Amino acid sequence: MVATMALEIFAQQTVNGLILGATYGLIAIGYTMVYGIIGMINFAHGEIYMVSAYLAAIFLAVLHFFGLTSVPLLLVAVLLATVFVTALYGWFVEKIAYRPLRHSTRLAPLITAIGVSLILQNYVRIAQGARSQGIPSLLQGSFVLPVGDQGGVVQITHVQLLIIIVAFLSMAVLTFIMQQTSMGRACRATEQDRIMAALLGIDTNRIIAIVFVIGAAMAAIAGVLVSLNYGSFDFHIGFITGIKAFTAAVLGGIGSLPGAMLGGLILGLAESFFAGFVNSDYKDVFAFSLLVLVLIFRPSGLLGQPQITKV
Amino acid sequence: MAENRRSPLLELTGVSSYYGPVRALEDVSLVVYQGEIVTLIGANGAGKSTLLMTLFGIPRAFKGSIVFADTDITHLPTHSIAPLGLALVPEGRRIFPGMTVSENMELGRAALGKRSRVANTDYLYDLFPILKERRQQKAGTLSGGEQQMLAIARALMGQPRLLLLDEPSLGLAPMVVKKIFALIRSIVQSGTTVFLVEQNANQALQLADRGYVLVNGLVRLTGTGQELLANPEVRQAYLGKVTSEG
Ligand SMILES: Nc1ncnc2c1ncn2[C@@H]1O[C@H](COP(=O)(O)OP(=O)(O)OP(=O)(O)O)[C@@H](O)[C@H]1O
Ligand SMILES: [Mg+2]
Repeated sequence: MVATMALEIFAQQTVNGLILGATYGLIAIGYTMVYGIIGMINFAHGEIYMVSAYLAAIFLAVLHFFGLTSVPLLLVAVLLATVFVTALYGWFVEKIAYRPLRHSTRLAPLITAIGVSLILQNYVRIAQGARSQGIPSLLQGSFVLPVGDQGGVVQITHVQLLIIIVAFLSMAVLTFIMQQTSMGRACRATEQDRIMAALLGIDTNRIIAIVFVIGAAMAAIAGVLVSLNYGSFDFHIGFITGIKAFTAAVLGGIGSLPGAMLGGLILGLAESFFAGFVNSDYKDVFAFSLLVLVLIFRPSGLLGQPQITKV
Repeated sequence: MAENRRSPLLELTGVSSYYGPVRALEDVSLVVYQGEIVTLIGANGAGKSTLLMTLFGIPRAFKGSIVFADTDITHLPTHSIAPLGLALVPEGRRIFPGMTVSENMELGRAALGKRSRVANTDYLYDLFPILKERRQQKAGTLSGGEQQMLAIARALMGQPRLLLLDEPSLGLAPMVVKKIFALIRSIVQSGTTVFLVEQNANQALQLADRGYVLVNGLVRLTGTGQELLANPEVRQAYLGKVTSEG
């Protein structure tokens, strides 16, 4: 009996952890790619994620108002519109806040990143109000699967399944773009040696802008999915989720794209197991302890290369 | 050759450039005509690499003008220069070690820009059979000589009109150096103009139609390869020979 319960919790927390981890991974991609290409931690990235949750709610309301009622169509339209507009935010932030500082000290863009964070938070608070916002649950229902032979079950909601599918599909598409297309190659070249890339005729400013756009788009996918799952959010969500995703990026090895995905999954699973088996109040403490341990024993992260210095 | 001499492919006029307050090039004027091999020799720190990088705006020419194929490139952004048909094999090769040989080659196509003609990959794999053999291998695992060949092949992928080489023989065994020089000769024969920076003055001057000698950022001497080889100052300073007249 106890064994069945433990098995049930294990299975359920694996599902929950994968879902949490997939969204951490999606957001971590933005941290890791931006770090890879310009050696900077974009602390405003969490706020981009937060903005995308609001955009999703707005697009959903607007589309619904104009009579779009088919759920699959609504989902696709909201996802595309949110990704597009959030990507514009990412592009705009890079252009006005970071690009002018490209050749200044390392610290300057970090400080503007904090500034951008505060601006986005307060802009959303003023425009949308400080109270938490809701998003109607479009997908209801769930699958119940048996676990073990003692009648245990694990539940996967339709939204959770959607999250898994969309997250892994996005990661696969992004990996393909980075590995197989000429734009992806140009991104990797710029990351490895920006001067050489420019000497070869690659417009590195454009590539850097593209990386910000990709990061924001991935965060927006997470924003839509998480909002659909939880149904509510406020202007603070960028902070804690941002730090978690950043942790995932460091865990996986900052600068490494597969590292961000792996780091996200490990963090999500670890947090979820800790919450399921030990204590759910201290799951954040556990997540950050994990980060500290990794930094002590493997400072470059799980898949990172040791010591990359950027000029 | 005389008919080519009328229109220079590359012309620097009174170019000075600085690293912060330190002047690295001073009033440099030089010209490269279509179809030539021109070499630039000079001691360590003379400013040879700086001259090549200044063509691409890193650092930017502070004074003077740089004209390539009738286009004033003095103030163009770095990435717009290669697509005009100017390709640099930089000091230290700067291949992308984490990418495969064929990916490194593909990156050279960025320079084709809007000219995008048919790829010359097959021709280059014939010219560098070793690269064809290693094309799925990470570029960082190649030997020094192979990396140099990759850097040259990558530059040629952009089908440049002028190929700039910064010390391609540096750190390579004599046999490999010989191979590289033979390659440069066949590149010129196929119609690409070459500007070769070398410390290996003897071989470079033997190969070149004309040469320039750079001393502390100033063009000190210029002449045909043979003239410079015979010049007492060059013989003493760069060929390690004591002149009989001396
Ligand atoms: N990035 C830089 N910042 C500051 N000074 C530099 C920089 N690069 C080169 N210099 C200085 O400019 C001068 C010219 O250097 P450059 O590299 O052009 O010489 P070089 O002729 O190519 O030498 P070598 O044969 O050793 O490659 C040197 O005094 C060098 O110290
Ligand atoms: Mg040099």
